[in-house]
Amino acid sequence: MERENGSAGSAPAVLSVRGIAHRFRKNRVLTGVTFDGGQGKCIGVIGLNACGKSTLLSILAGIRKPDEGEFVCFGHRMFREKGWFPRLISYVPQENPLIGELSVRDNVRLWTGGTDRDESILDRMQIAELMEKRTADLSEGTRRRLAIACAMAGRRPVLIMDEPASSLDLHQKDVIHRCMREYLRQEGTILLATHDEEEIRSCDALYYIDGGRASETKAEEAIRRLREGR
Amino acid sequence: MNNPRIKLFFELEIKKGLALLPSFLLMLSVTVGILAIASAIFCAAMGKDHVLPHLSVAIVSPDQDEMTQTAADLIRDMESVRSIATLDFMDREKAEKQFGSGSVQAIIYLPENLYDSIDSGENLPVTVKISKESGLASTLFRELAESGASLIQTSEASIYALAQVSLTYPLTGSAQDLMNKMAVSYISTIMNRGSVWNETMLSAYGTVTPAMYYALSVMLLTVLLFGTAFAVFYSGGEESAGRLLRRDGVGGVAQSAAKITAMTIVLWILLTAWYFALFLAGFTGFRPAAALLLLFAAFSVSSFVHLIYCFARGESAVFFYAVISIVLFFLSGGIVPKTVFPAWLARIGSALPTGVLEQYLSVLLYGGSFGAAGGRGVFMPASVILYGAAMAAAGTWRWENARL
Repeated sequence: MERENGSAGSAPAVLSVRGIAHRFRKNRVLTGVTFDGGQGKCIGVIGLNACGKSTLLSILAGIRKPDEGEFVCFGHRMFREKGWFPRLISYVPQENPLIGELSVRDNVRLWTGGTDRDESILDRMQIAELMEKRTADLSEGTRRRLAIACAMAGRRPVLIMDEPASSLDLHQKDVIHRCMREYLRQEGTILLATHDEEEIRSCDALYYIDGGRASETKAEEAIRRLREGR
Repeated sequence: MNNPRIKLFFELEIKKGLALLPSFLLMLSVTVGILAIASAIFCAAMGKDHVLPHLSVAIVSPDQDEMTQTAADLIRDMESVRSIATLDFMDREKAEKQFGSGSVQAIIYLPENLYDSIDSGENLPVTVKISKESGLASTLFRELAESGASLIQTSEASIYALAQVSLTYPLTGSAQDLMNKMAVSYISTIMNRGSVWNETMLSAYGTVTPAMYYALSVMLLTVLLFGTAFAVFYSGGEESAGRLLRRDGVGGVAQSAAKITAMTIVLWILLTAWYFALFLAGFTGFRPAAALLLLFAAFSVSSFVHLIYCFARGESAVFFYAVISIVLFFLSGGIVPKTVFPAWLARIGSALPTGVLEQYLSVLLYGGSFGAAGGRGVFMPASVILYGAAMAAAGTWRWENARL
C-alpha cells in the first residue's frame, strides 16, 4: 500500500479498545486486548494462525460478544449501543458474506441498501461491468473485490477487514490496495488482520497478538516474528 | 418489517428460490428419463409382463364324465388359476412323460367316480403332484389347490346339510335330484371367485389404484428431493451473510421466515404442477381449493428442509438431508404401502411428519375425508401445520443460536 508506518495516536482516537477478553469453552483466546485507532489511519492486527485475530475483529464488528471489555467508537460505547454497529462499521469477514445465487447487483443492493451508496467504488473495484452476473459464477478474487466494494460503498467511517488480500493475484491486490488508500484519504479508519508483508508495512500502527494479548510492534519486528513462527 | 433491509431480504430470498426451479426441473426430467429408459430396457430383457413363470398343469381323469369335466373347466377358468397356470386334460402316460421332461410342472390325478364320491359323501382324495423346481409359482399353485379343496369342502358341507334338511322335511322331487341341482348351482356360483372378488377387492393401496398410489409417492419424493437444491440457502457464505445481517437488524427469525417463505412458494408451485399433471392424466379432478391447501404441505416440507440444514451444517449436509428424507419416505409408506408393515411400524410411519403429509396429500388429491384417511379428522390438516411450525421453530432456534 506504500504508506509510511506511523503511530495511530498521532490522530484523534476514534476507536478505543479496552480490555477485550474472550474464551471458547475453557480456552482463553483473548486477554485484555487494548489499543486505540485514529481517524484516517490503518491499524494492523498481526499474529500467527489461530492466535485470535479473527475473533477480535468479529467482536469489534459486532458479530460476536466479548466476555469482558469495552469498545468505544466515535464516542459510542458499542457493546451497550449495538444499533451503532451497522451505522459506523463495515466488516469484511474472512469468508465472503455474499449470496452466491444472487446477481452482483442484488448483492450490492443487499449490502448497501438503505444507505448513501458510493457507486464509484464499483468502478474502481472493476465490478461495475459485472452487475448482472451470478455471484457464484465469479472467480474467488472477483468475489473478494465485490465483498470489499460492498463494504466500502456503504460509506461508513470504520472498515474492518479480515485478510482482505489473501489468495488474490498481484493485479487484484493492487486494485484493492488503491481503494483502501482512497478510503483512508477520505478520513476512513481501517482495522485489518493480515499476513501480507506489503499491508503490514503500510499500516500506521501494528498490534501483535500472542497468547491472547496484543502488544504494539513495528513492521519489521512483526514480519520477523511471523517468519520465525512465534 | 420497519427495517427496509428485511423486506429486501425477503424479496431476494424468494428470487433466489425461484431461480432454482428451472435447473431442478431439468435435473428431474433427466432423472425421470434415465429411469424410464432403464425400466424399458429391464422389461425388454425380462421379455414378459409378469414376474412369475407360467405353470403347465396336466389333469388326468380316468373317466371323462360330464360333471367332472364341468368342475375341472370351472377351476381352469378361474382368474386366479389362469393367471399362474394352464390346465389341460391328458392321459396318465403323456402327463407323466411331460412332467419328467419339465414341460408340465404339476399333475392332478382325479380318482374314478370322483363326482359320485362327492355326491355320496365318500369324497375320494385328489392327488396333486407338483415339481419342486418351479419355485414360487409351484408354491403358489400348491396354496391355491389347498384353498380350492377347502372351498369345495365348505360347499359340500352346505350341500349335505341342505340334503339332510330335505330328508327331514320332505320336499317335492327326489333327494338325489335336489342334491344334484344344488351342487351344480353352488359350484358354479361359489367357484367363480374372480368375478366375486373383483367387486369387493381389498387392496394394500387402500382406496386408490397402485398407479395413483405411486403417482402420489413420486410427487412426495420430488418435493423432498427438491430440498437438496435448497442447500444453497444454508451454504458457508449464507451463514457468514446471516451473521452480518443479524448485526444489521435482519434477525434470525426474519432470516428463517424469509427462507421458509421462499421455499414454500417454490414447493407450492411444484406441488400444484404435479396436481395438475395428475389431473391431466385422469387420476383426479382439479379443485382450486385443494390446490390452495397444498400450501400447507409446501410449508411443512420447507420447515423440514430448514430444520435439517440448520442442524446439519457443512459439506455433508446435503447427504445427511437425503438420507433422512429417504428413510422417512420409506417409513411413511412411500416405497411400499404401510399396510404391509408390522402394525407397530405402520403406526410410527403414520405419525411421522412425512406420514401425515402423505395422508394429507392423498385426501387432498384423490378425495375422501381426513378422518377416514388417518383417523384424525380435522386434526390431520392441523397436524401438517403444527408439524411444520414445530420444525420451523426448532430450525430457527438453531439458526439464531448457531455457534460462530
